[in-house]
Amino acid sequence: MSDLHKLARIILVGLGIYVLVNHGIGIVAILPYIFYGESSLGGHTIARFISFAIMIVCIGLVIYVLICKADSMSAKMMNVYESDQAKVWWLPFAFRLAMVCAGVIVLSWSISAIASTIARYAQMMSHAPSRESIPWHRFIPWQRLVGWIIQLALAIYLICGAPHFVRWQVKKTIEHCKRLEGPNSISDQEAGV
Amino acid sequence: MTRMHLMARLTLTMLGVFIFIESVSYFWLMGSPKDTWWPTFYVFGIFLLLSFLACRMLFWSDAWMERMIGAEDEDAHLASSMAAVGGFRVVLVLCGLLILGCRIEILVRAAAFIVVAPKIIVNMIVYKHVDKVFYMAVSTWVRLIVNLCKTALGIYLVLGAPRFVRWQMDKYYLASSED
Repeated sequence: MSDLHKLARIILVGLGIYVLVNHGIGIVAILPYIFYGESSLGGHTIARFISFAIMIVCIGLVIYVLICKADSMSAKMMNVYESDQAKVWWLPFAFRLAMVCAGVIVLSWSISAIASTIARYAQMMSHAPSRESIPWHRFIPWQRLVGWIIQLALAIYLICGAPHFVRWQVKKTIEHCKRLEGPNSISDQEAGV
Repeated sequence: MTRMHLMARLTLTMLGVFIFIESVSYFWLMGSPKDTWWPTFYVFGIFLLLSFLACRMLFWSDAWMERMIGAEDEDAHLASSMAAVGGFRVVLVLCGLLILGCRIEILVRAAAFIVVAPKIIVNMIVYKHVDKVFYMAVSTWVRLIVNLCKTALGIYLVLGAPRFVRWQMDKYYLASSED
């Protein structure tokens, strides 16, 4: 196991622990509202349970991948770019690692935002006189809904390593270095792009 | 520039970006209506302090960097230009993605506004009718502008902040290699 492999593993596990602690505390904090909320006898308890379950499953999945599958994930990151010809193969790897970290953080934000909004909506519905009094599109405007979809898509793309974006960034970095050091400093093939 | 110097500078840059974002968040609290002047003054003080810290970390971080590294060996490894440029870009892109990741909704709203903007402008010029979207409290305007600025900063960072990286390289990397 190379040093960079170890570094990637440490960062992924650290990120997993961050998500675990951050959302673990959040889940513990909202537990009483889920089970002993005022409207626990109402029909919308199911919606609250569903949103809670979705949140736990998604966060659990993220934590499982980050902590238990950190080895295979970091190995996958290394295998894509590691080659003998590549002089600075660590650069795409570093970008990829940064993308995965950003993806996990964005995913954890979006999951908690979506779950808490669903829970709040369900709670408001339970206090409302009728189902029609609070239409969901007024509670969740379309801009927020579209924002969530884009956010989730972005998070998934980043967790997959954002290959096109990483390739573009590496290309730009090499161009920058060429300008700095002269045209013969490094070629794209040497960089493993 | 040695590898340790580069690591310290990258850490300070990342911290500086996040402290700057935090300081801008305080800025919109100043737009909230208050009966007395001192809360606004107090919040402005916090904003100035955080902005100063962020500028120190981003632009004049030499003293802190020396303190972070301490005494260094004479045969310490020098960082290559690729490591310096690559390191800065990775850190800034990560910061940009984190800033932009939680402001997608602002982008969607801005895109929606751009779509309806021509109609609103025509109404304003031809019919002298000001659309109701412009009737907002000062605090809402301040919040909107601050969010747009943060989003713009996020986009700039995601693109790799080329000017900032070039400035950093000119100021620190090339200067130290000339020495």
